[in-house]
Amino acid sequence: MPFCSLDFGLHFDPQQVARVLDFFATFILVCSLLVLATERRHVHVRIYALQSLSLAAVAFSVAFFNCERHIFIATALIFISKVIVIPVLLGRLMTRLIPQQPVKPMINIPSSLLFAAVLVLIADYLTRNILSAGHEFELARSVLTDSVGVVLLGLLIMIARKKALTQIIGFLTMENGLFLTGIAITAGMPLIVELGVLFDVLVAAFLMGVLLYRISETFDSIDVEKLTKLKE
Amino acid sequence: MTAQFYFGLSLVLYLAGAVFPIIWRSQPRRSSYAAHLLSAAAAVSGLISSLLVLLGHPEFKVSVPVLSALADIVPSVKLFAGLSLKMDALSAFFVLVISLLGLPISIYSLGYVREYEGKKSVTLLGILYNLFVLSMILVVTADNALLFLIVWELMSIVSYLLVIFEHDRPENAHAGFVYLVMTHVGTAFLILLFMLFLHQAGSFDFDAFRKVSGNFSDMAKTFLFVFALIGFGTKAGLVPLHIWLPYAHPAAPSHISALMSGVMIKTAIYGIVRVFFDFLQPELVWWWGLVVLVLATISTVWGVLYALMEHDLKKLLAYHSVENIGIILIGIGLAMIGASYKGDPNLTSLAALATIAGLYHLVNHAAFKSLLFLGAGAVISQAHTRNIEELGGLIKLMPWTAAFFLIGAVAISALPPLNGFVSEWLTFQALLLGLGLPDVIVKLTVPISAALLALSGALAAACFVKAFGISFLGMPRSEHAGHVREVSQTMRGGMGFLALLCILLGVLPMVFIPLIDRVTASLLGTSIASQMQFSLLMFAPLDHSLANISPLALGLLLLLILPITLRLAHMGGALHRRQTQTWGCGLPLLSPRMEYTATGFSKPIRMIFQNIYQPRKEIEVETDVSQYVRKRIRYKLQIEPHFEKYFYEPLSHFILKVSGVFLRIQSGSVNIYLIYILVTLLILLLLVR
Repeated sequence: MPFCSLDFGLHFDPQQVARVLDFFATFILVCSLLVLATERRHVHVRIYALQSLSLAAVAFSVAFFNCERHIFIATALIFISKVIVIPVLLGRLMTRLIPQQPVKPMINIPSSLLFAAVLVLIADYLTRNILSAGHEFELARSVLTDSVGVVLLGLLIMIARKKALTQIIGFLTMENGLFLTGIAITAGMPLIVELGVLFDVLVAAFLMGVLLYRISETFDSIDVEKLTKLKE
Repeated sequence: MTAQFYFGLSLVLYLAGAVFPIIWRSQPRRSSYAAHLLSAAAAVSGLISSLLVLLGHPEFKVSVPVLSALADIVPSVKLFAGLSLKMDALSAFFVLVISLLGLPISIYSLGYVREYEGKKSVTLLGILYNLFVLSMILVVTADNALLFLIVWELMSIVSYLLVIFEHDRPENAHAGFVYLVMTHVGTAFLILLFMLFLHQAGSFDFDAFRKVSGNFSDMAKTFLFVFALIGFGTKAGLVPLHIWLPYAHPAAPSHISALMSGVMIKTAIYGIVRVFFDFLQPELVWWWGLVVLVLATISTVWGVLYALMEHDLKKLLAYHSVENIGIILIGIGLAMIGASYKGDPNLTSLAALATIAGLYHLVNHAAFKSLLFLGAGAVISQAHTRNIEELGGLIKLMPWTAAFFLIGAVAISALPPLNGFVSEWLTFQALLLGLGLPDVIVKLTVPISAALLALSGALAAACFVKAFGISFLGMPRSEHAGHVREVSQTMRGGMGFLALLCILLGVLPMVFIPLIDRVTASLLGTSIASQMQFSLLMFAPLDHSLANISPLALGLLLLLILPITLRLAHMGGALHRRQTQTWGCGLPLLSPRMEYTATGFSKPIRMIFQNIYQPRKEIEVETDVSQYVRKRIRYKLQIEPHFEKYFYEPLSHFILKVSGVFLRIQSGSVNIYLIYILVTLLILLLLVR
């Protein structure tokens, strides 16, 4: 079955392909920033779905332009699990959680955006030398920067917000960053690895969802500060 | 039928003994019979196997087929595939000791565990008992460091569970905790020890360890010595690592105490011998042996001094274990010194003699100490107290137990013709020959060690005069002690077996020493049995002009003297017979309160050694009407536990303080933890960039 560019007899300029990848990768980074910039959890879940959609787009582009056929399967799986299943799961979870007072974040929005800027700069600084000029994947350098940035931002989301649900979003964001690295830099890891990772994330999301529900029932809140009581 | 078969059979029987009781868990009696009869059968089987190997059957290896089969399927099991057991002369000797005790203790347990029926799970006790013996057998036969550590830990944990078996008593929980902490400290050092070996050998196999002994630098060798000494010394109960013994041994049920004290602490001796005489023998350094010798001598005196002040029957015995481990290690330490001078045949045979002395005392201690613990168990099961001040007069009500306990007491006091005498005599001979060692420091240490060994022998005798006299003679000091009954036949049978063993080991050393000689011959390469003079009437180490004894003749002499003395007593005419109460001084009505107490008995020794004991006395007088009418006097005596006070307490304070500092960064907030992760991540990323 004809799937990828070569099947259609199309040839693309690698520069152009890189630009496409770059566009989607940057959008993923922007999505993480958006999560930091809002406080509404419904919006968080939607942003996550959007982020995953552009991750799927990256995967599709790699599969299409580089003709890595097995990435198509990964694309489909990303789409099903991250764009549909996990957001739906989290959405259903939110309807079951007890409505509550807004929790003051650990770091407020303006400061967290400042921190985010610093982290993105650090990500850029870190990745500058990893793929030096003339490297096979030179084009992917900005994608790598984006993905390291996304990982760091995911961690920042988990630190800055006290709600357990937002922390799940942070975790999933980190994971998206890792996936982006995997797909963009190696032009697709072996399918079995990707399957494993996807499965892990799905299970993690399930588990955290259940745990979250329990926390909410026990503490009447999903403010993780309350877990401090569990110390010792 | 070969030794392998019997060895495998014994392992299978122990395993069966750990499984079958579950079937009859609702019937405690049956469950206990299943457990203990199976373990007795396993002990017999192990006995045959180890005897065969000691009598000349070639050493053999047993690998676990399941593991190698698994390794083909799951590659990560490969690491474990090399796990095998090996029965060489040294292992066989220890299997012999374990089995030799396992048999009578299993028989004893048949009667003893009835005490627990209805109170505790007899099934669980039986299962743990079997697992405990099995793990000890595996420890002394493991041929791979990884397997060794696994079964070592299994042994520690099973014995911990047995220590806290009567967990409803609060002091047992504390005893268990002390034991668990100490044993894990020891295991940590053992892991370090084997890691050092692994680093050189590249494999966990003991065979590989043997080959690389020459590759260590002097520094690394020093570390090896220190790690092994602390790791095994903790389990052995070497001073100052002995503090767990007086807690853990009394807390366990008595037949378990007998096993722990008789055999488990000996697995540490096995470890020491295995590491120093098997792996590192060509690399021994003379001062290692000296350190062992000095610590062992201190243990000997320290153990007996504290035993003298102890009035808890089982704690007293536990302190004596510290003493006897010291005596065993005096032999081993001396052997290490002797073996470190390679090439001198005199010194090598000294090493062999000292090893034989140590190992012979090991068997003897195992026999008489477990006999004493079983006797103590019999007394406690009847009188329901461990405090000897509340016993008394038991000899009339429990004549058999008293007789067996007396045999054990005479043996541990190193009096001829029983077994303790022979091995302590051998240790003395080795020490005297040790004067021929070339180093001046050793020359100076050896006589001091010999003198202290003599002192501890005398003190041990005093201690057992106290223990036996106060608990078995005189009048019952409490109501319980007045209502005891002789214990069941199985319990008497178990004790009788061990008492017989004590006598046989005492009068027939020429039968047993060649067996031990095979062990030393395989380790040191010199067999000295041929140099030792054996005959029915004479027994002399190395040079018979220097010293020789005949334990058998001594025994016969004692048997002969007894009727002669009785005869002599009658010679002056018919005995003038007058029946009054002993030591009554003419008073007509003696009450138990007038009896000599254990505290009183040990007072002279407490005064002589008061610099060491630093006793603290509190006397409270309650008066009535006027100060001359005394209603009650309360006397409280406390002995200073030096090591706990000046070493372990500051240490635990320090550890708690450090943990307190670390507690500050443990806020419990998820966000803070995540910040730690982010900061660490960023620092690492920036560093490796």
